[in-house]
Amino acid sequence: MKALLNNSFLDLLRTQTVAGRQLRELLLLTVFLVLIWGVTALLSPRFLSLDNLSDILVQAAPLGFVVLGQMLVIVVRGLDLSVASIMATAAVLSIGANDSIVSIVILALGVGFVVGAVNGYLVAYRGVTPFLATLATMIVLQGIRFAYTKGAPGGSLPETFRWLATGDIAGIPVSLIILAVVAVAIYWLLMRSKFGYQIRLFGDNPQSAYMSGVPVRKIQMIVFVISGVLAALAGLFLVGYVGIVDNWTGQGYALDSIAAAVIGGASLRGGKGSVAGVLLATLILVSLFNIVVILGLSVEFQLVIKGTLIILAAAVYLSKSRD
Amino acid sequence: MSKAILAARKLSKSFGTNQVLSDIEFEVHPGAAVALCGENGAGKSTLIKLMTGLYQPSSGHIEFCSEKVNWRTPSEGIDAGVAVVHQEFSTMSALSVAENIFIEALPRTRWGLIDRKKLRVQTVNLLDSLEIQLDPDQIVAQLSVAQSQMVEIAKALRTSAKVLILDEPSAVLSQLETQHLFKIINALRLKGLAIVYVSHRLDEIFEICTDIAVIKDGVVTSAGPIADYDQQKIIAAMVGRELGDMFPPKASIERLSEVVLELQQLRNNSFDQAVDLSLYRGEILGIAGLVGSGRTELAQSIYGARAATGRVLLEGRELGKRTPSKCLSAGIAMLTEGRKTDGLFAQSSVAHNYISSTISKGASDFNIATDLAAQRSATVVAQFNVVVDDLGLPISHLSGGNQQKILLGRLLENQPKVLILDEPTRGVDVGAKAEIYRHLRALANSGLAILVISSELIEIVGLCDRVCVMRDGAIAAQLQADEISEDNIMSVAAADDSEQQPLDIEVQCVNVKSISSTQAPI
Repeated sequence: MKALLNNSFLDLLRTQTVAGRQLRELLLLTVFLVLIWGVTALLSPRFLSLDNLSDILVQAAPLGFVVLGQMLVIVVRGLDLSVASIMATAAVLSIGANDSIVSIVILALGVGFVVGAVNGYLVAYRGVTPFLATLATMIVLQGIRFAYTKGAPGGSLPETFRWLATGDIAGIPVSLIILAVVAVAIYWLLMRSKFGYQIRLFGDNPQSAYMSGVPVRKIQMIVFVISGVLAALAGLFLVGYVGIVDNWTGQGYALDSIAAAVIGGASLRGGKGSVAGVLLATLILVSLFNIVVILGLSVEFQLVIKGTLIILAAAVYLSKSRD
Repeated sequence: MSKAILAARKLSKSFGTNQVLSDIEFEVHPGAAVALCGENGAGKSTLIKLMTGLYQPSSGHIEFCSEKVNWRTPSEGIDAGVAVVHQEFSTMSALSVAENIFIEALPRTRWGLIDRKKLRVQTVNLLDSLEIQLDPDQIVAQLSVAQSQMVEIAKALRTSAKVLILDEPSAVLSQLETQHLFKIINALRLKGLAIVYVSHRLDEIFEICTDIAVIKDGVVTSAGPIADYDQQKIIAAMVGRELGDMFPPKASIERLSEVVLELQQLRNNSFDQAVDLSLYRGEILGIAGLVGSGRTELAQSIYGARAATGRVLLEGRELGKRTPSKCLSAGIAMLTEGRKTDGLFAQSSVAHNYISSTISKGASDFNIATDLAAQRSATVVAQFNVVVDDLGLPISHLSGGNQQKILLGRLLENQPKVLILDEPTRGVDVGAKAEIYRHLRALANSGLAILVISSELIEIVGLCDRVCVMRDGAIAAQLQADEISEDNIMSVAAADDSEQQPLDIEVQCVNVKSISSTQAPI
């Protein structure tokens, strides 16, 4: 019985166990990241400068928040297309209405919470497919945003925001510290709490989960709320990073977050996803954008790389799941 | 006598070490209808799959038109002239009747588009020749089950078939629809088609079949013209075997005094009939009946997984709005019929499957140690003798028997008072079956009340202390002690109608109240 329980790291890496497979995927992502960093560093020594690396990490932070939420949604067989719209709407509404940082944060996260709850309600209690539900809220939010701003977002960005998004404490970017705290919290939620087990079991087989007494509706609801709140948080960080409040803040983040989640090992068929994996994938995506710029390639090239990477990831995971 | 059109000669089939069919001799002649009878798992469907080219024989061969054939795929069998209508329909509900029938050979115009006019003419001609009345343009989704089946038959007979195999065609049909089906089958037979008819309903066999072959445990135990048979003789050929020491000794009826679960006028959304039933502490109650008789629906409606009206009382207290989650915490646990569809978490580890209904047992909801699941399941692996290399493996790596033991162990983690087991040994090998039976009896002896639904009569007879036989959503008879026999169960389950018992086997309906000292059901 001891033998069943004790597994060293190397042993685990070789087994066909669920944990072993996940570990191999993480290793693969790490190797890929090191590889592209290494190649770029050889071509352009400027890449590995502390400034540039810190730039990559700070840029990656807003997408990182969104990806964590998106990953949870994908684990329960969903998709959240509304995240980008939430980012912009939360930022525009909260900053337009307030000057104090506390009320801006509360209002922004409140917007994320409410939209996430609407998504969750539609999916869990009304049986709307996640794609349609979040597409609809995305469009509605866009309308509300433009009606509110009449095309020109107002309000001024408090200085503290700039610091939160671009500043550092003892050399470590503040946004990264906050992302790390959120990531650990999500990791704990997914891997160590009862709720996290239920999320993963539901993603594996919703019918079995229901028959095992898992509160299936509540689970979907909460996951969409988390995704909404994290997207709102990401919106604030992105606005702080860019320095201006824009109606199109976060444009492209919906599909980027789905891409990062899939590259990071979350399966659109549900039940699979890891915090470390999707964060690594986020870093890979953001690095690639940076590399394109550093190497002086045309910006359009970014899109080609991104698409190719998704296909590559899908092919790798598919061939592994057939084993 | 004419020559056989389709025949099996010394046909054997084994999967690994498991011999499913041995030395089968079977033939069907033009203009004859042969009934293929046998219990679930006897080997009927394997024989059909061999005769249609879906499986290849391990030894022996198939003869078609007196020639030895070696079909490698079902399409070769179909091309030769063997048409099959399976129990599960393959119709596409969004297409029309005509499109469904000719889906594999849609007539084309010279532009490559579907030739609607020609399609309609072909369909009308085919349906007329089969004497089936259907509108070729109607969408299949709008048809009744019986009409969909007619579409299946027409589709099967689109090419000039010489043999038509029907696998339990009446299981899903009402009385009237069945009569209509029989008319069509008879007409086809009189035109010279050879029919193979698989059914559990013995009365039907006498109505439309000319010959019969009975399979039991992979061997043809009896065959001949239907005129030589009566229902008794068929049942005897189908069942009648030693129970051996597969099953542990039963509980004595006198011990049953304390009602644990009581159903009062429970009526689910699939049947009109209400069910009253009491389940006693320490007993194993079997629910027998044919496929579609409402057994699973009854279990689901107790467990809150299916909408139902009526009352369910657990230890005298009524359970309000039931859901699986509430039933589990109240003390009712259920093992589902479809292990893959709503039992297992196929990609998750053995350990996570084991704890899925009691995730944080022995820990806080927000701090579950990473190896807690493995530690907890290691205990049950030892107790149930589960064969597994590593508890972290996906449960899909385990054999059916080992999977079932893990799922059974998972239910016990909830410390239930009532266990509902729907087909507990489906897809489980004989060795694991005996182990599961032993565990179930031990659980009953320790005070659990167990409800077992099974299509395997031998299991019902060998394992259960009392048996309810279901038909059309209602409990048609309750049997106990010596009355529990395969003959008695079959004669009730396959009977036409509760008013007229076609058999002279005496079936005593036991009133539950007579052995109960506690409150009687209303």
